[in-house]
Amino acid sequence: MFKYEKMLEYPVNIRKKDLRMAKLLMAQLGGPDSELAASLRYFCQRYTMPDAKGKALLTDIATEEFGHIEMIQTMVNQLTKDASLKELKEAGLDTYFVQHKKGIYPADANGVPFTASYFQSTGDPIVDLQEDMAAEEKARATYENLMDLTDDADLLAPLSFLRQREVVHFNRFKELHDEYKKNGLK
Amino acid sequence: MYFDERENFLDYVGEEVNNYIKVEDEEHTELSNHENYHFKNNKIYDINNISINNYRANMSSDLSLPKDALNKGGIFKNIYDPYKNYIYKVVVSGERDEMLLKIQELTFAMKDLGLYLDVYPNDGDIFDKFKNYSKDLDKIKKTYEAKYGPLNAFEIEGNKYDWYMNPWPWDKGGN
Repeated sequence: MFKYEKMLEYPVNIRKKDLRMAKLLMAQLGGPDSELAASLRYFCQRYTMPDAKGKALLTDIATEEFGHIEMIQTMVNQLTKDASLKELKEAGLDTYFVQHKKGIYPADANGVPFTASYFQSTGDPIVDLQEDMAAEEKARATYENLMDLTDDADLLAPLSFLRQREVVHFNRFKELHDEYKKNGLK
Repeated sequence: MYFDERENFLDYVGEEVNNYIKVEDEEHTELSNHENYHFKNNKIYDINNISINNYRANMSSDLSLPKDALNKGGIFKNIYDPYKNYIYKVVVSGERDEMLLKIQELTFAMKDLGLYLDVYPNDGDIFDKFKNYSKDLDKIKKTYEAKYGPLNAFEIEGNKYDWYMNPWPWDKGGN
């Protein structure tokens, strides 16, 4: 079961309204390499990990990714909450508004809804861990693109935190993967 | 930061302060301009090719303090691999926010050590750190919750049900 902690993993306090960045950040909420895809991926895959280490690592990283979903949602919410209709229109967010107003909905930067086809659960721990490593790298690359697209420190700080988490998770998955390989898992 | 419960819907009154301070990352000056970031990518792949046994060398003596760990996004110095040559330091003011930040720092330190321990459960030095942070965290959480309300729905430190109350983490003053 889960217990909610009433705090973010890392503080998010964005003061400047920036609808363009809100639209782009959606990539990490509902896109193919999003935090949502990451968390669901590991939650589904953990049942077929071959030992206790694998079950623990996938559970713990999946749980942390839920905290990252919350951070991205908070960023989008803070960036959009004071926007006028006219501003939303100018930022190309009127197509979002017509279906969701300012609600937080898991779609990507182009409004394409999240789908489970963004990830796999093959039942094969080596295959799954290799997908997990790739997923962390894709998310890292996306965070670098987002960091290139803004100058606002209020955004750059949480983005650079989230980017480094991808690096750490990648390393942990890689270590587990290499250990399984070493022990003869195909 | 100051959160006004009565005016909780949109407005928040507070001094304008910087939430994050940008500082130069002296250990990674080679990343000083955008053109250089390819070197960083090469470095990542080097790290990945290190075998597990090498990787564990000097691990336990190579930890950041919880404060720096949160600013950097990881407690293990050997896998810290920044994109640009600066670090953002989280800045808060006021007792409530300072305490909450301390809780976030310790929670994060434990989270990151925990992921490591999942893969290397027999590393006694890291487990000792993990235990110490756990004690510190329990203590500061109790003080915070008695004063500012629960962080967890099952914790009761005060004498009324105040779990539901604002601010929530996405609100101003909530994190």
